[in-house]
Amino acid sequence: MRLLEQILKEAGADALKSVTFVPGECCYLKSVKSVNVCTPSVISVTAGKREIKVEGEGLRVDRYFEGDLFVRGDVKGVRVG
Amino acid sequence: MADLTYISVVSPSETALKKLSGADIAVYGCKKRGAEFIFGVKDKDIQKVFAIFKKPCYNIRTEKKSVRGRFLSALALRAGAAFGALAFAVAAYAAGFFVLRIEVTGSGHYLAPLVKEIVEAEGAGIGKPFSALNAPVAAGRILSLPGVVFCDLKKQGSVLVVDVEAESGAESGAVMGPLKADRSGVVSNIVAICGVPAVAVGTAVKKGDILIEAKCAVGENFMPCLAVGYAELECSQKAEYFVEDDSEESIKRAYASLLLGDDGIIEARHSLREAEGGFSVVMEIKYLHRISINLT
Repeated sequence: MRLLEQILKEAGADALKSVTFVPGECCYLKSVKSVNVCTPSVISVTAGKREIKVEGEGLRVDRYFEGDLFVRGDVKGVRVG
Repeated sequence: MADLTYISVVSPSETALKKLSGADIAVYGCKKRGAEFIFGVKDKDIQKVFAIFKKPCYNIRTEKKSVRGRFLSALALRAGAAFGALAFAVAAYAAGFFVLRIEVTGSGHYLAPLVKEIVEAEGAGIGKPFSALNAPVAAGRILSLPGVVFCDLKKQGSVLVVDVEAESGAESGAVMGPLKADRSGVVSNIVAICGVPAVAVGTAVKKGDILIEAKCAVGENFMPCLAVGYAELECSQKAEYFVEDDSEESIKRAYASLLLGDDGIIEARHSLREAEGGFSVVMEIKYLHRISINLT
């Protein structure tokens, strides 16, 4: 994880605004301001000024604490809009 | 967006979302309002949500019902009005199957009482179903009325509209009023196609007596209408005619002088009387005189 943060830092990206997902397994979002929609097929959140949609099947919120959202389920994709 | 019911719970959004997500309940439009977490769910999940947050610490309540929920609640509170509206709708729909009024339109509207009588006789009276009307027979009878060239029966809501077109001038050519005897006699035959016979066969009538009245029965009342029909009167006549001789030719001339026209002689008797320069043929005849009204 430190290596990942270092790479992102060198690339000029902000690690606090990152999205990490494992297709078919899970998805981890940071700096989530609010959850807009939470259904087994779509979970839509507002992170910063963007809306991020996690799409898949059987999605559920496993952990949500202090802006960190961990989603389990068959994650098929993440859409940033 | 689906028709949603919005619910608020006093809970951190993380806890609420985890519980809801774990129960596979889809939530929409989530937001925080102070200590309350507000979210929208479909109507089918409401009971599940209330079951999940059943502890009093959650202080769960319905913020805003879905459109369907609000409609059903309002309907339940106004059951009488809803029933009345439904009964009215059913009555309005059912009324369309019954005749509530008969209207005669077109240039033949002056035949309205006759047309209504025919239509009622063929099944379509006030309060009766449209299906009871024998339209082809009614149209045929209306077309047989004097001057009528076109007839159409149609249903408009609860009104039976009969469109009757008559020949131009038919109304002005029609004789309005009863059939009156134009001479004295005994009624031997009377046929009233429209109108009411005022005398029976065998009745002695004088000149001016009404034979067919210009009215027709509509239900229990009589309405003015066009009198159509004819009557045959058995009349007697005595006449004298001067002839120069008593030949058969002279007798024929004497009878011809009566000018009976189309009237047929039933009985004829004559006698000869001598007169200055010839003979006087005294004739006593009985003949059948036919008079009609509004018949061609």
